Amino acid sequence: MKSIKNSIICSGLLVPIMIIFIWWLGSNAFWWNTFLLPSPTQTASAFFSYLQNGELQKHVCASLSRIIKGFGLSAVIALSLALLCSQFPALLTQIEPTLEFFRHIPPMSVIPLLILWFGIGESPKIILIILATFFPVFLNTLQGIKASDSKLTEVAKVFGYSHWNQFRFVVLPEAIPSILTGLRLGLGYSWRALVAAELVAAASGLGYMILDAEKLSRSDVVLMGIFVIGALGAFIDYIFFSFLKLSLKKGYML
Amino acid sequence: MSWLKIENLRKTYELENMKVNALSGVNLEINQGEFIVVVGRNGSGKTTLLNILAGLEEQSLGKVFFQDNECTIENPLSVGMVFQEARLMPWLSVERNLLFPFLPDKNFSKLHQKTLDLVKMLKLEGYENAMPSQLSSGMAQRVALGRALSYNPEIVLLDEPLGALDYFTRRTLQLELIRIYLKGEKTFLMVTHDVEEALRLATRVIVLKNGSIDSSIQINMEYPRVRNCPEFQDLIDKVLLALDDSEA
Ligand SMILES: Nc1ncnc2c1ncn2[C@@H]1O[C@H](COP(=O)(O)OP(=O)(O)O)[C@@H](O)[C@H]1O
Ligand SMILES: [Mg+2]
Repeated sequence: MKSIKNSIICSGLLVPIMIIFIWWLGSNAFWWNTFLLPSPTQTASAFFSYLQNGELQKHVCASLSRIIKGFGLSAVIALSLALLCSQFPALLTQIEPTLEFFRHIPPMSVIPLLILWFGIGESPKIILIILATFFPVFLNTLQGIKASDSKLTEVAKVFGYSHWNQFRFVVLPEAIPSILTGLRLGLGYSWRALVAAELVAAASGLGYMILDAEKLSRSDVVLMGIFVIGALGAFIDYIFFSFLKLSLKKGYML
Repeated sequence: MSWLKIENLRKTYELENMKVNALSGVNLEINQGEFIVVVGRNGSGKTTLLNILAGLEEQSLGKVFFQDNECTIENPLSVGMVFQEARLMPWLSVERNLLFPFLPDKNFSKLHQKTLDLVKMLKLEGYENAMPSQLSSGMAQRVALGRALSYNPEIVLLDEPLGALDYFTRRTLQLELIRIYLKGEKTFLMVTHDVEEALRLATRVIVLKNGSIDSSIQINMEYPRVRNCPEFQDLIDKVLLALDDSEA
């Protein structure tokens, strides 16, 4: 019994359990109108009914595939561009003002244009995710590589490392913590951008599911959608970074 | 023929409005198996000398020959270097840091046996999987020394390797250095500004002054050397005299 208590406290489950308890208590004691804030049981039953008729799976798959495509593409572009800029400072000088301009544009503000150009298909959502996630990945990667300690590269030089090996085995591993921070921020931003896009223009996805529920006045489904997004985001983050860290360890980078 | 020959080595740094002569014509011949310790004041050019030998900097003038072959960028002298700071890779375990010179090799994972001997020699047993952040500074410096030795270089360069350590750790590591040197496998070129340390370790002490060699003093005492004997005291006086004109 004591060990269960300890593991709950240690794993940070105490806060969620307390929130759910107060939520449950408040709903049952009618502290608030359960139409405005449905009870945990109403939300759970919305979850199971959407699971049963396959709606939930459909929307999750639609959103997830957009995240994977958008964030994957964005990460590849941002990482390669940052690597190139770190090796060729002249390139950075050329593109820096342009990037600085785009950095200040909120991705949501281009949604009208994207719809005009691409309709409500997949491309505007993926482009939006790229716009929202490029900068955290790019800037953190670049900053990590630039901050590399020349004293460590000297060690590699003494032992006859080629220029490429100095980069591969010293500079890049040194930058890994910043790169991971960038990727982690980017992955979080990609959910925000995606759901925003799905709320405005989509026929599938978790954002669409929430909007549709609003039209039907199903606040239990709205709440359920919010929970699914949060849980799915945390789960994807955990899987992605566990896998990434494992492969980085194999490559002597972490 | 000499084993390692340094000929008229010069290094000038061009600053905005002046030139600094870090090395102004160093001539030195080193025999295989010597333990050379260079002493000199701050700014006398000690680090510059080691950096040029290690290929980290290029000389302005002069040549280095190893077994009569000139050392160049394409054909560098094989050195292992220990710096004042351990400079371990913080993301690699002790074992991987020890084998750092071989990290890019394809059969890196087969080198495990090599670490066993190093770990034993440097008394790092039990720390193979520790991360550098978990080591004391003395322990970290042992790993840095092990890393230089694992490379099996012609010569081990040490730039004030014990300078940042506390007195007791420094004494212990001095004895370790002597023990490793007495295995008779390596040639050492060490830099320090601690005269006593130089005399405890060196088979030959080189006094560097204003970028050139002032004197070279052969030390024939047995290891381990004790400070409170007349011979040691005479040598200290001799080196101090060479270092400081004002007392001459
Ligand atoms: N990168 C550099 N640029 C300009 N001057 C330098 C540089 N490195 C060393 N020096 C100068 O060269 C001289 C010798 O330096 P150094 O070899 O580091 O001395 P030591 O290691 O004996 O203290 C000093 O006067 C120092 O200021
Ligand atoms: Mg120095």
